[in-house]
Amino acid sequence: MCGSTTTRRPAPTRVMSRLVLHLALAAYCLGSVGAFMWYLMTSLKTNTEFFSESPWALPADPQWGNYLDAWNSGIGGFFFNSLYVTVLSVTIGLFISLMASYALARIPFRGSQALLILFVVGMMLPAFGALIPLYLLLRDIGLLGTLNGLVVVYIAVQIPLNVFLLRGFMVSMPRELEEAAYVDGASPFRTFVSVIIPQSMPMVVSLAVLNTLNIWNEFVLALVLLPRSESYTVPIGLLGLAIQAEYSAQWVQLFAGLILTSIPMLVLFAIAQERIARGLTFGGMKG
Amino acid sequence: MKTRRYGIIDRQKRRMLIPFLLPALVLYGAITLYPGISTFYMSVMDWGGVGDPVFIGLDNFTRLVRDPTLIKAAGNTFFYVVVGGFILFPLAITFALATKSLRRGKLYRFLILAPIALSVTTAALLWKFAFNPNFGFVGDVFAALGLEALSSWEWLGEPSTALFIVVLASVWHGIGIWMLFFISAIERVPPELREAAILDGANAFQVFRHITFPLIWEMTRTLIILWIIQASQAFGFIIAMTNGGPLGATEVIGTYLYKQAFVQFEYGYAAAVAIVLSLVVVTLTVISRRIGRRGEGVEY
Amino acid sequence: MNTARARWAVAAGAALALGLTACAPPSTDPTPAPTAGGLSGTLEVVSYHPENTPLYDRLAELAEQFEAQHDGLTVEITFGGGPGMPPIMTRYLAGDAPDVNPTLGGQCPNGELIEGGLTYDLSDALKSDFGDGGTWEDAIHPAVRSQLDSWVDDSVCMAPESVTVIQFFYNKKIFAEHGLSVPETIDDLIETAAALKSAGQTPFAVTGTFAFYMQLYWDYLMLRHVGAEAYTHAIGGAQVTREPIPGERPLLADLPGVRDAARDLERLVSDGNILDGFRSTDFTAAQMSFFQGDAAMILMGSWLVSEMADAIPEDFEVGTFAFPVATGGAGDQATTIGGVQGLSVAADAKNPEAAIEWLKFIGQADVQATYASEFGAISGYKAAPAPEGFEAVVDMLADGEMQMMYFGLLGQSAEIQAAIHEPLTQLFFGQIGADEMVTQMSQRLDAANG
Repeated sequence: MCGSTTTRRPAPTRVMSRLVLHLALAAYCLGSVGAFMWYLMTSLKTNTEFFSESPWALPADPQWGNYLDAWNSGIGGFFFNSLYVTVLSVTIGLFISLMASYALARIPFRGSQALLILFVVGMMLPAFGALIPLYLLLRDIGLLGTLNGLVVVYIAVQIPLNVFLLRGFMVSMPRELEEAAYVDGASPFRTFVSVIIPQSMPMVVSLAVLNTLNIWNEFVLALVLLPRSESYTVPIGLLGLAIQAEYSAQWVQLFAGLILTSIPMLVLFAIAQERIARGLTFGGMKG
Repeated sequence: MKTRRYGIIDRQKRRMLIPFLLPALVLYGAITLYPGISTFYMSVMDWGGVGDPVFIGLDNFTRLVRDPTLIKAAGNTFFYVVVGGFILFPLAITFALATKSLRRGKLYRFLILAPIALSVTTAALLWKFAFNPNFGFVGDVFAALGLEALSSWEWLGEPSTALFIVVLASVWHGIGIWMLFFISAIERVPPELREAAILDGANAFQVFRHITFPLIWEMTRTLIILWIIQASQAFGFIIAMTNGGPLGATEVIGTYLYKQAFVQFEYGYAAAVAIVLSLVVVTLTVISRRIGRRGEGVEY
Repeated sequence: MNTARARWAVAAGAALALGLTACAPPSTDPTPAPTAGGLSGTLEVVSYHPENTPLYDRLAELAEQFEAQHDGLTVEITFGGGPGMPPIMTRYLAGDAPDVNPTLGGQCPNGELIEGGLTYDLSDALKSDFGDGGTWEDAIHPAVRSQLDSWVDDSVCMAPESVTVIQFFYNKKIFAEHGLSVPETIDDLIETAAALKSAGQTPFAVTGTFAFYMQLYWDYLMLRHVGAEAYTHAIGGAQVTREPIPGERPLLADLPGVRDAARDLERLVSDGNILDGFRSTDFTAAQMSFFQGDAAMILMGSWLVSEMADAIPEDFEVGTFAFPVATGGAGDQATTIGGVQGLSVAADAKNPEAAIEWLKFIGQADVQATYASEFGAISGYKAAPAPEGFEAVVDMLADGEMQMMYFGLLGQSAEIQAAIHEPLTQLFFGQIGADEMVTQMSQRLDAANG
C-alpha cells in the first residue's frame, strides 16, 4: 500500500533488492498505519464496544460525539497555548543561545573554556531538581501560572544543548567570512546578524526541530507551573483525558483527543519534512 | 599588521561579551544550574521534603551501592541505551538510505515519522493496551499470522521480554527524527564520489561502507551522544507503559529516581541517585567519544 | 468515587519532584485557630479530576451553593494534576499549598506532610457544632472517625468525604448459571472457584501490574488467619495501630497462621484460577474483563461500579459479598478492609476558617445524599443514606471495625513495600510456592526494618 516498483530498467539483482526493500518498508509502515487505523476506529466506538468487540471490528454506529467530548475538554485552546509557548521559546531560546555561542566560539577571553564547561554540565544534570525552586522563583516574579513564565523556563532548559552544539559549529567557521564583514566596516553585532547567523542556519534548523519536539511534548514543568486550565498546553489536556480513561473507563474520548492533537503535527510533517531534512546537520561547518 | 587588526577587532568584539553572554547566563544560571547544584547539596542530606535537612555525609551514596533495586535498574538502563541504540541507529540509517533510493520514499518517510506526532505518555499508554492479552491487537496479529506461541505470550507480563518491548515501542515512537538527520547527512555526500565508486564496480554495501559511512560518521557520533544523554534519562515512556514492572524488569534509573523522589519523598537519596545518573551519562558519553575517534572521521 | 485511590503511588506519567534545601522550609509555627464570624476572601479547593468531568462539575456546583451561603466568599477550584498530584505536592513543599486537598490512598496524607506540620490539625474543629444538635465528630461513623487520626502525632488530619470498602464483586448470572451460592468461608471460595473452572469459566479477574491490588488478597487472608495487630507489627508499622505495639517485633514467618494464609492464597490464585494475561493487565482492563463476563469475580473497592458505569453492559447483574471467613482462623473474621476518601486542610492555608466550613458543608446530609444517589458514594456520616447495594456496608460502619487499606504499606519505605510485594507477585506469577513466599517476605522485612 505504501510503495510501487521503479519504472527505470535496472539490473535484475537491483530489482530484487528494491523489491525486498519495498516489502520491508511496507511491512514497517503497515505497523504505523495499523496503529493509526486502530486509534481512528477506536475513537469512533463506544466504550462498551471498545472492550467487548474485536479491535478490528468497525464501529457499529460511528460516535462522532467522542470528538466533541474531546474538543470540549478544551483541546482547541490548549493547542494555541502550546503553539504560543513552543514558537516563542524555540525562537528566543535559539537567539539567546546563538549570542552566547558566538561569544564562546569567536571571542577569545580568559575563562571561555570554563564557561563552556559550565554550560555543558547543564546537559548532564537531570531536570529532577528544578521543580520547587522554579515554582518559588516564578511565583516571586509574578509569572507563575502564566504562559510567559513557562516560556522563560523552556528557554532556559534548552540552552545547554543549543550552546554545546552551536559553539562547536561556529568554531569550525572560516575566519575569513567574519573578517570580510569587518573590513566592510560592519559592527560586531551587525556581523553577528548578517554573517554568523546565516552561516549557522543548518545547525539552527536541527536544533529548532529538536527543541520543538521536546517542548511540544513537555508536561512535567507545565503541569506544576500552570495551575489553571485556561493556560494548559496539549500534553496537560491529554493527561486529563488519560485520567478519565483510566479512572472512568472513557477510553474512546482519549483516542479521539489523541487523533485531534496529532493532526497539526502530521500536517506539518507532510508539508515540511523534506525542507527539514535538507536543513539538518550535526556535522561540521563545511557540510 | 595582520595581528594588530585582529587585536582591534577582538577588542571591539570583547565589548560584546557581556551583552551576548548575559541573557543565556542569567536564565541558565537561575533556572537550570542553580537547582542542579542544589542537587549536589541535597545528596549529602537526609531530607524528606519538609523540615530541616540533616547532614549525613556520604550515607546516601553507600546506601545506593547496596540497593539491589538500583543495581538492577542500572543494568536495565544500560540495556535500554545499548540495545535501543543498536536497533535505532542501523534502522534509522537503513530507512534514510532506502527511502532516498526508492520511489514513494517520501510516503514511507512520512509514515515512519508519523508516530512522533503522538504525545509520549499517551503513546506509551496505548501500546500498553495494544499488548493487552484480552483487549489489545498484538496477539490477534500473531494469531492471524499463524504464530500461536507468540500470540499467547504475555509480552509485557514476562520479565524476560518486557524491557525489550518497551525499547521497541520507544524506538518506534521516536525513530523518524533520527532518520531525518541521517537523510540530511547522506544528502550532503557528494554524488560524484558514489558514482565514481559504482563505476569502479563497487556494490551498494561497499559504497556505503567506504564512501557514505565515513562521511556521515562525524554526525553519527554527535547523534550517538545525544541518544546516550536522552536514553539514559528516559522515564516518561516507561512509567506510562509498565511503571517499571513486571517484578522490576523495566525499572530504569530514571523511573527509580522518580519513585524515590515523588512517591517515597526520599529527596536526599533521590539526589544521590541523580548524581550517579549524571556520572553514568558523562562516562558513557566520554567512552563513546573515545570509540568514535578511533573510527575514520572524514571531513568533507 | 474513584478519587484518590492508592494508584497515585505508582501513577502513570506523573511528575517528579526532587526537593531542595534552597527553598525556605515551610513554617512549622502553630496555626492560628479560626475565628468566628462571616467568611470572606478566596477559598482554593483542589479537584482530583480534570475539568469537564462529572466529579469536577459536582465540585463546581457545590462551590456555587457554598458561595451563595457565604456572601463575599469566592471558591476557586484547582485541578490537582491526577495521580500523585505533583503540582499540589510541589506547592506543599514550597509552602504555598491550596486550602483544601483530597487525601490519597484512602488514608491520611503522606506521613512527611503531617510530620512536617503541613496539615491543619482538625481535632478542635471536630468538637465544634455541626448544626444538627451535636458535634461534628458525633455525626461521623465511629469506624470512620478512627481513621481520621494522624499516623505520627495526636492531630486529626482529615475529614471524610466518602468511604470505600474492599469486597468481592461477582457476576450474578454466571453464579446462577452454575448453581453457585455466595461463599461464606475461604474453603467455600476455593470450591466455588474450582467449580467455575471445571465448567470452563475463569473465576477471578486480577491485575498483575499493580502490586497493591494483589496485596488486597494477602491482606484479607492475613487479617482472617493471623489478625491485624500481629501482621502490622511484623511489617514494622505502628502507623495503623497509631500507638506502639508492646513486645518485640515478631518475624512474619513465626506468626501463627501465616502459613495457612499463604497456602490459601496459593490455592486461590494458582491452577488457572486467574484470568489469562493478568500479568500485563492493568486495573482498568481487569475490571473490564469482569464486566465482560470473562471472569466471575473480582476483589475490588466499592468504587468499582460507579467508576466503570460508562462501560458496563446494560444486562450485567453485579452482586457483592464480603471477603469470606477462615474457619478456625486466629484473626479477625468480621473486619472489613477499607479507606476513607478524606479532605485535608493545609497548615498554612490562606483561609482556614472557610476551609473548615467547606469540610463541614461537604458532610451535610443533603450533600452526602446527593453524592450517594448520583455517584454511588458510601458516606462516612451517620445521617446519609446508603447507596443501593451497600446497605450491609453502612451497617458495618455503624458498629463494626474497619481495617486501613494496605495495612499502612503506602506510607512505608520502598524496601518494606518490596519485601511484601515482590514475593507476593512471584507467587501470583507461579514462580514460587507458599512457603518460599513466607520465607522471603519474612527475611526481607527483617532486613528492611534493620
